[in-house]
Amino acid sequence: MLKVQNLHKAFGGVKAVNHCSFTVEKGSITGMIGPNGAGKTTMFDLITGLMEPDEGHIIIKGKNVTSHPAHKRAKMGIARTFQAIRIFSEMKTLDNIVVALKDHPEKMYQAFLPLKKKQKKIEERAMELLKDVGIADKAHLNAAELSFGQQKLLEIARAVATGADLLLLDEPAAGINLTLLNQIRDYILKLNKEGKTFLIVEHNMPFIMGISEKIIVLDYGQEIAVGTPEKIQNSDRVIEAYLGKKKE
Amino acid sequence: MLAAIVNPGYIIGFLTNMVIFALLGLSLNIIIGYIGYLNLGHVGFWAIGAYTYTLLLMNGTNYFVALLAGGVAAGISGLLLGIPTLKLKSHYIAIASLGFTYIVYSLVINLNDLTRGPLGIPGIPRPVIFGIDFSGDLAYLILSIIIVSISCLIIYILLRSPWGRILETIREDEIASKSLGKNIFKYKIQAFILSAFFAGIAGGIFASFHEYIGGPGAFFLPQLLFILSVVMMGGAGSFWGSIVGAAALMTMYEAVRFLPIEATLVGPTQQASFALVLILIMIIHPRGIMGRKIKTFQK
Ligand SMILES: Nc1ncnc2c1ncn2[C@@H]1O[C@H](COP(=O)(O)OP(=O)(O)OP(=O)(O)O)[C@@H](O)[C@H]1O
Ligand SMILES: [Mg+2]
Repeated sequence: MLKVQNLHKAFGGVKAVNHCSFTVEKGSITGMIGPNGAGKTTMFDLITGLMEPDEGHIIIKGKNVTSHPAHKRAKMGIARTFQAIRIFSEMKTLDNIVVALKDHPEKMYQAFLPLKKKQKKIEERAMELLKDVGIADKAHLNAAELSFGQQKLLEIARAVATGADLLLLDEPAAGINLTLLNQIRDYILKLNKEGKTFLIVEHNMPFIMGISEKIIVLDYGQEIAVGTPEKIQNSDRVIEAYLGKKKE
Repeated sequence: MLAAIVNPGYIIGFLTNMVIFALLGLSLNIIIGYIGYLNLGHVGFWAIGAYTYTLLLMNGTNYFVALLAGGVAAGISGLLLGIPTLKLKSHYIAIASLGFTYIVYSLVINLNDLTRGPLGIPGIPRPVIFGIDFSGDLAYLILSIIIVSISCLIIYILLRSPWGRILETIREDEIASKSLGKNIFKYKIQAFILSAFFAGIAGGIFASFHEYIGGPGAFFLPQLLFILSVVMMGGAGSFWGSIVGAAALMTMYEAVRFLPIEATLVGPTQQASFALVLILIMIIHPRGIMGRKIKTFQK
């Protein structure tokens, strides 16, 4: 599903991602952990095309997309959430989902076609997605009016709405309460059963260890360990990476 | 003084101006309020529309062809300004587009053979369409209202459409929009062309209304500030806001005439008043009368 090969990205002297390679198998839930500043978010930005790597390749579904712009990669079926939420806050919650849906008739000339029925269908589909994450009752509020946790749910639902089969979640569990956390976990598991592949960055160890089949550990931009959650928890290298620094 | 208020000729002129500035404000609002960029090149588009229309019309071109050609010429200039600038960050676009306004202004002043430079072009006719003569002030007001209404309707349909929604995602968060698969550069270019096109149409209406264009200081910073004030006072991102803004600002602009001040001070006071309004809105209530928060202006 996703192959990262020898990927490298430096900011001045900081090697945020340092000749890193790994794969994410189709249908899997893969966790990505690492201390603060390990390069996890930078990795997501490189994979989704928001940043260009200095070296290396990104292969999505067998296709080398390293030189593709972000929107083209997204169209190939990859969607993400952001560590610092990025929702369309001055738009309706429902419209946040509507714009993401695949058959959204967003070409300029389509404004002048009679597409009421199609629009209605799309809104119904968006409503279903809001129901799935339990915020359907907020559909007609501006997204800015949602609570932090609800905004996170909205952002995940928006990624799902694109129809992407590879979902990259950057710290879905950060800053939310246990009820919501369980809700997010169940949602991820349900989508995974439906065939979606996940790559999830997370600092919450019980959460990420519980949900992932495979964990990739980044430290100073390098993959220092890859394996099952049990294997990772017992790896000296990983423990050292974490104990060497202060963790949030 | 009171006679001036009830003078129908005065009121008709006032309303025609208002209608023209409503279209200018609304078309600029597509950029400021929907994709969230501060475009300071709008008077340039307006001027290109006005001159294209005038030169064609005075060389015998059909009225509608001339009017549309003005819009198309402005639209093309929107494309040409958009391609190199729309990948830049928001504040660089503001600077580049201000440069555009200055370039168009210098061309107008210096291309004497075409524009008669600072002398301007007098004697621009008003049209006769299907045998109806629109040269009277009231008739021309009605024609202006019709054309502006059609223009506003087209803009309304587009802004309320899924296409318009994508423009809003650009205003709200470009990075998120890109990550959802939107080719945001394409949408920005389309929005620029649309916005410029209708500024060009407004230029045509404007030219025949005054039956004259040009003169020193025309299509330059005071007009730019005025249009900006229309958008910001009405509210960025609000369709009706631009129309309300045009009405409110024109009223204020004209009200200055009735202040007990010397005649020579009226012009400067008018300019100072809407500049002051613009500043006050930005400080006190940046959403304007009915607009939204524009993130790019608040960072
Ligand atoms: N745009 C940027 N410019 C300069 N340096 C950057 C930039 N983005 C990230 N960095 C640096 O690159 C390194 C990796 O940052 P990144 O955000 O990828 O880490 P992370 O693993 O996501 O950390 P966290 O767990 O805190 O989210 C850090 O040292 C950071 O300061
Ligand atoms: Mg991060």
